[in-house]
Amino acid sequence: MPSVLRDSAILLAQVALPAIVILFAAWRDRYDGKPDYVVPWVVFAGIMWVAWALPVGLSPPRLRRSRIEIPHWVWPWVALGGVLVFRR
Amino acid sequence: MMRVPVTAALLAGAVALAVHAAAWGAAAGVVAKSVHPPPLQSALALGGSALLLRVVNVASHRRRMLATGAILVAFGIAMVAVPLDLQFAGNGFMGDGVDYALSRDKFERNIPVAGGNPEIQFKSHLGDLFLAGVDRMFGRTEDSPGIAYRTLSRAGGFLFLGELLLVIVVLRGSRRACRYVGLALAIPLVIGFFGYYEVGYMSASAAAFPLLLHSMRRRTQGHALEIGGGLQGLHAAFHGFGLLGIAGGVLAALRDRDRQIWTACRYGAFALAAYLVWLLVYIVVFGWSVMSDPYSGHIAFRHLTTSAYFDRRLVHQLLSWRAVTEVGMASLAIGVPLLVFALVRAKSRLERHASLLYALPGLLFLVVWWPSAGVGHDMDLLLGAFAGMSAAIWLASRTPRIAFQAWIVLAVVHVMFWAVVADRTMERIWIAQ
Repeated sequence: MPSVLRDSAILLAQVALPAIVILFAAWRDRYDGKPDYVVPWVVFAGIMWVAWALPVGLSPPRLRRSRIEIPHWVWPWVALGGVLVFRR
Repeated sequence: MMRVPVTAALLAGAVALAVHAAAWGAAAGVVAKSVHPPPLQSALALGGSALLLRVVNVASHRRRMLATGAILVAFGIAMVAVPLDLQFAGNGFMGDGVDYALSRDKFERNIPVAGGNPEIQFKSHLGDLFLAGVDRMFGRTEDSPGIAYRTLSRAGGFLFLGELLLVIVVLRGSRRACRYVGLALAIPLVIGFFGYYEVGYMSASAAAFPLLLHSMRRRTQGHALEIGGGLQGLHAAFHGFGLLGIAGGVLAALRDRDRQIWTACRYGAFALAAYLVWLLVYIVVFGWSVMSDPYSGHIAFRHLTTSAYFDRRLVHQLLSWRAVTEVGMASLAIGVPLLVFALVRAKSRLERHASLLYALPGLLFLVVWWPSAGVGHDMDLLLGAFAGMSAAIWLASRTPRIAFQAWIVLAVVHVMFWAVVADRTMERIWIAQ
């Protein structure tokens, strides 16, 4: 598979897919134009995303110890999971 | 000499944890139905914690110290800049504190010295003194009780951050100390420092357990034991639930390798001194009377097999679905699962035993105590009663990997905390006269 296609598929699965479902949930539940649970879940997951991503470039590799990191793709899915659990 | 009682206490701790774990099953169904997005304060606590854990893991000593200092300062600013809403998901979760803050009359009835009466109630004498002092400083107006509660919350937050810095200094900036600080930023207790209108969360110390354990491990000429005991006593002076922390510290000290009685007595003596020395000030300097708070009689304990009425509310027997569910909800929300996780992953027998002994009084209390306002409304007291949280995060800070896994457990605990706050199915029902 060409790398562009592969990268697009990865991006779709990691970010675009959960984002689309979140937007769909927001659209479907827009009572008075404000599904008030979607934004808090997205903000919560977004802050976690930033916190885990921010220090990536801080350290030289020689000091790198055992890897403790959460893959970036987790957070959009956490936001989606929260939205879906809350909707139920 | 202490082998048999210590073994008995460890067994009691294991049984208490088993009761908690069994209660989680009953509570899970209720909690799952009321999952809500955690508010910004939880996200900031978890985010700050994650940031620190990652930096500590990869940076040199100098960068580690700089990053820890910067994150603690940023956390202090966040505590002041992002106060909690008074309600969450339509539920007022701050107990009676909001009533006291909004009604001057109720505030003065709760804290007589704030109304000019020369008497102070023993239950949370230092907390009341602080509230009355700030209230007086701001002119005893209709708004000043609210300012006093918010100031107490921030003061508690800065005391918490100061204790974390103390741990880093005493442990010479070790990676483990920094991981401990990183995890401490994510414990649910920190929610109290974002403008919580109550006093109960002030009873827990962040530094007492690491300092006590440090003094037990190293026979050097330090004062970690005395400082740890003194800090726990100070927190008990803010609210009496800190006595559970003092009892836990004395029990943990009995696990010392030698001089167990000496260590336990010295820790207890310093803690009690810091708890009670204030009474001299009230009586001798200010000329006040120290009174028993009528509300301190409003502590109810669950009976094993019989229900009872207490202050127009029904206290279900311990062996009932409702009581077990309440115990499980409280346990999940304040982070007891992290203690189980940390005990399982611990390597050092001394640390594991000391942690379980330290947590034991709180674990037992959480089973038998009946939170009179309901689990979701007495969160400050529940958080304050579980002193074992600091022991849990100390155990979990052993390696980067375990600290990372503990962070995930803490993230789930935050979600459960707010789910319990949002739940309405377990509200107390008041019976008409």
